[in-house]
Amino acid sequence: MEMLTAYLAFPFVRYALIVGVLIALCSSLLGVTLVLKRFSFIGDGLSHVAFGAMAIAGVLNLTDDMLFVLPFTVLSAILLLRTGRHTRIKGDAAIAMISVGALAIGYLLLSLFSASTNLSGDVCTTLFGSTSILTLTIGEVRLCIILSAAVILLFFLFYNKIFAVTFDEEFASAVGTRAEAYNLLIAVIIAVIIVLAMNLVGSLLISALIIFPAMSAMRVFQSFRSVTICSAVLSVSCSLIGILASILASTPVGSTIVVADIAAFLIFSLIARFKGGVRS
Amino acid sequence: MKRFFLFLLLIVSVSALMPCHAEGAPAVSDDVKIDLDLSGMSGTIVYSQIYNIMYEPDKYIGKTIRLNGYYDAYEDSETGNVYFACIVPDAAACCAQGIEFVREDEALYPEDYPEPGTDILVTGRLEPYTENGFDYLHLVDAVLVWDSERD
Repeated sequence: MEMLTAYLAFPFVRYALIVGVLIALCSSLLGVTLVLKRFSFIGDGLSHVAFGAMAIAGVLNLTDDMLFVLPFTVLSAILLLRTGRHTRIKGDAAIAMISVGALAIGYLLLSLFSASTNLSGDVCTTLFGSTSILTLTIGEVRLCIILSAAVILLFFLFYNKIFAVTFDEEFASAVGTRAEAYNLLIAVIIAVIIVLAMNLVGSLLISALIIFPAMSAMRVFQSFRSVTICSAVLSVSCSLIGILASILASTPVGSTIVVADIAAFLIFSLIARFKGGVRS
Repeated sequence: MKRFFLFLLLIVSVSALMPCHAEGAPAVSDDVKIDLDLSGMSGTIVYSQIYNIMYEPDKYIGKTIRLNGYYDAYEDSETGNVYFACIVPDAAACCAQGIEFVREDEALYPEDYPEPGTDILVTGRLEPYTENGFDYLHLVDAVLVWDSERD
């Protein structure tokens, strides 16, 4: 406990906790929607797109890669969620193609043009997060707070519409809800969360932040509201536990958070079993 | 004899619990004020703090820093200069941060230095320097301590 208090005196530890909590909260809010819309894997696909965009930004020597990565990922999210339903390449296949394609192109560009002397380190950091959450600048923390606030605000403002589009898109359209517009909004929010979460867990582990809290909550709760609230509480708790455990035990931050999420999922599955019957 | 053996065993056990002790290097004086003591902290914290020092060096220049990591040296084949560093890897072991140091004593290389990869404890004052038009940071008047048991 004494050690933990000493660690909390470092500003970068406090930044990591603030950003970690915000990202976990945002990802869990949208996670429920994505799981219910059968878009669980979109986080993985978009994170690979963000990795590819980051590689391009690195090759172009952009000092602030966020200005390039964020619009690029938002555009990809819109394309995936909108055109996926109107083209011959449907949902999961489109995500898989974009996912592996962006990953391959990103690594190829880094290998060919990167000026860094530690290519494997750079790739490892981007894919697994490493300690990037603990090396944030105050500018990155501010940007994260602003974007997270925007995501949370949008979610609460359009909660009813997102709920309607999530459960029955056709019915929502039939009663006058602009389903296309709300799908677009969801796509933009997802992309923002993905780009933010890359700092926390790296691009390979982002899906865990989106899926595990939602799935854990669905084991025990049934209504959209209770699942969303439980998912948010669980995600924030696991994120805090993961960050603190990784600092104390010198383990990689991203994978420690994901292990905490897995543990929570197992506990909630057990609770569901005791309560009687497991919901899928 | 049995008591003596037990006494020796006790001393060996206690000394094994000591974090480091010096060999051929002066001990760090107790009156040296350490501004930033990273020794004994988790690798994740030390790695992140060194990153922050490199990112915002102005906040730390002139401060006495103590850290542990592993020792490494680089010899410039053109100039013959040897650079010594305390390296701290990150938790994923894919990246490492290091701080160069210059010892306060007239140590000879390589005789008075440990083997590369040895765990070391370095205490020194952070100062900037310029070489070939590039700015660098290093710990000057550094006191180097390592565990002789591992040599």
